[in-house]
Amino acid sequence: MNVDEYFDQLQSAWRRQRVGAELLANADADVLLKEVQRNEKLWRTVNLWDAMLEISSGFLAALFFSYLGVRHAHWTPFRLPDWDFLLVAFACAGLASFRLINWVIQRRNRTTANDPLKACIEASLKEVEHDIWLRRNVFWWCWLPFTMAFSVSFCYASLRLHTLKFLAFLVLFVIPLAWWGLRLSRFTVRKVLEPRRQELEALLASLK
Amino acid sequence: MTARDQEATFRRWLDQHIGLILKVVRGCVASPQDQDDLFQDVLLQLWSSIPAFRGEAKETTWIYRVAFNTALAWRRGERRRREGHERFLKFCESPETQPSHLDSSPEQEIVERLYAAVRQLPKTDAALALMHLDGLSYQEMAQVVGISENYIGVKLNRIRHQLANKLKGANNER
Repeated sequence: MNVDEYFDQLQSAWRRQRVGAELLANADADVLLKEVQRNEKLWRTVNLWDAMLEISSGFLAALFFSYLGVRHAHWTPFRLPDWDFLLVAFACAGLASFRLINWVIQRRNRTTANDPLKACIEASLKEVEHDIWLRRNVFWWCWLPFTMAFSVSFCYASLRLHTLKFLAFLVLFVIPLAWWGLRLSRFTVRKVLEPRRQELEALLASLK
Repeated sequence: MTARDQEATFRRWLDQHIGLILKVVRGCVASPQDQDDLFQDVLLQLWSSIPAFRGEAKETTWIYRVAFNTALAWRRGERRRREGHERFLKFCESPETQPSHLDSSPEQEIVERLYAAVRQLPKTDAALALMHLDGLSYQEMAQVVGISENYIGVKLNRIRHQLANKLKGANNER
């Protein structure tokens, strides 16, 4: 028997299988529908929460430091509040805005599950490459402005208010946080995103 | 589309095409738990895709697209990490719970070995193999995958040989 004949036999065995009945014995359409609707709500919430956590925390931090800036300012007529905490607030708002714009652009470019496979793979590859670029350059667009703003502002605040607590906060919290964030980004690129990119490139290559 | 229409379409697709979805799921992942996770993800994506369905593509083409795209993007354990959920695919957990038609008849054995062979193929080839086994035309497969019909023909020729040789090889070993 040649390969084609053998494959035809396989194909007819395949078509005779009764795979559909297996599920319906265990879960009827109502239960499945209810579960899908529940999952959809959860999925939307989780996705939105994932995206908004980073962005909203940036804007909240901006609000908090604006409040500190105004509260610690020496109010004199025709003079702006002292700039130390306001600089941090500006940096936080800048970062949050950058993430928000990036999220909106990426969301617009996203394909849906009903697009052809090749288009979805290409779109996923672009998304992963963009994510890798973001994380590889996280020092320049996130940690450098963040730590610079904090360092300048907190050193100035320590001098202005004659206290070391801002300097201590900078050394004990802000700098380790930046270092940890940088390491985490590199780890994510190495362990998650690069393997995913290679996988998608292989998939795309198999369709070219 | 109203919520009622969406629900009606979903029920109809479940009723008419559940076999197609289960075949894709079983052709893409091996363990019962992974199959259950992927099955629920496919259902979720199908549900979400219904408002965009205008009837321009055939229903089966649409469902294949959604199912394969979900399978390609699917990550083991991601859903389980995020939420606890009920399991639906209880049919393959243990031999005792399997329905009678899944007994070890020679034909069922061939089908099981076919699933195993398909799972060993690269994911895009596995997608083509599953659609080919189900008898989709080259045109329909081209619509699902997004490549030319000629190329589908070239790939399928190779996939048919790969699958047949794998199964023949397994027969000889036995």
